[in-house]
Amino acid sequence: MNLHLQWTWFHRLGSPRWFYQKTQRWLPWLSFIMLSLLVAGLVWGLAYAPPDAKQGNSFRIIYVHVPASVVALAGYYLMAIAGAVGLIWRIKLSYMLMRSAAPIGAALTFIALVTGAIWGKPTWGAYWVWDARITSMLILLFLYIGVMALRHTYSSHEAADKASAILGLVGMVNVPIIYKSVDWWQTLHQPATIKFTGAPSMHPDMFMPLVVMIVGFYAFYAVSLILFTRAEILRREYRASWVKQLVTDKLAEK
Amino acid sequence: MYFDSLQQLIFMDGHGVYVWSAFIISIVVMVGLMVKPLCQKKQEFKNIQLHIKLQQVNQAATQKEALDASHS
Repeated sequence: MNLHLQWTWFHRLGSPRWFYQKTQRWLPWLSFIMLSLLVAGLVWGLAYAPPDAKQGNSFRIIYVHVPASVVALAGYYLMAIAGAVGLIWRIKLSYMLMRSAAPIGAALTFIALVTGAIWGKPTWGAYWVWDARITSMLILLFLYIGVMALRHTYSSHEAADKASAILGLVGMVNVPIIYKSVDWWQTLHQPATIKFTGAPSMHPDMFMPLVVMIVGFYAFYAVSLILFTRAEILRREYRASWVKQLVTDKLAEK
Repeated sequence: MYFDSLQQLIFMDGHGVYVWSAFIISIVVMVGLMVKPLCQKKQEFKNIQLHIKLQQVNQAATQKEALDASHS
């Protein structure tokens, strides 16, 4: 009985209709949380946190650089796992999530690389260095772009989804390399500020706004992923009766 | 606030141009990540409306054909 209930829950979660209707209710709340956190973190980090003893005010770039990098990496896991779930259980929604996660991940990796380059100029004296961390992040960007591009290489959705999911899974090898790159190679990039084990290497006055920004970026990721997935659901399910009903109701409202 | 004036906040001891450009680029990209799916959704709604209308026109045409055939 219990097992049966669990499986209905699992299938409901995989239903595009269920996702579309539920997220309609979640979106205003999530957007509110996202905006509050990002505005608070931004003002705190830019105007109230003290400057770094060595790097001065340029260190404030950390408040977008680190959250964007953290979420870009976590987002890769999400994309790859969604692809794997699609491959194993053939759940339509998980492929839609994988598709939607790719452009967001690519954009966040782009933010991490660009803000890192801007930070590099006053700190290292160069915008770009072929350092292990930076190079592996560039590979992450190419992997995201690869998953996005594979969509257009097949005429059928199914084949394109499978190919993207496989590329996503193979590319997962890169993620631990990025995490560990600053420990494995003696490079220019500074070691991790936040560690899973042990205290952060930052004063709480600087660390707290960073935590707010990271949580804010996760909320942003959730909102953006939901928005992209809803558009993808409409694109793929346009023949479904509930989608047609939705569109006709919207027309009637006008 | 850490800075004494708004000018200091903008200038940031010479680092302002780096810090502000990094934040502005990030904000522009993030706003894009919100606006793009919303535009896509709007476009999909239009496409589906067109699809429904086409279906209705097709249905009407086949009904008319069937009616004409029964008369002749």
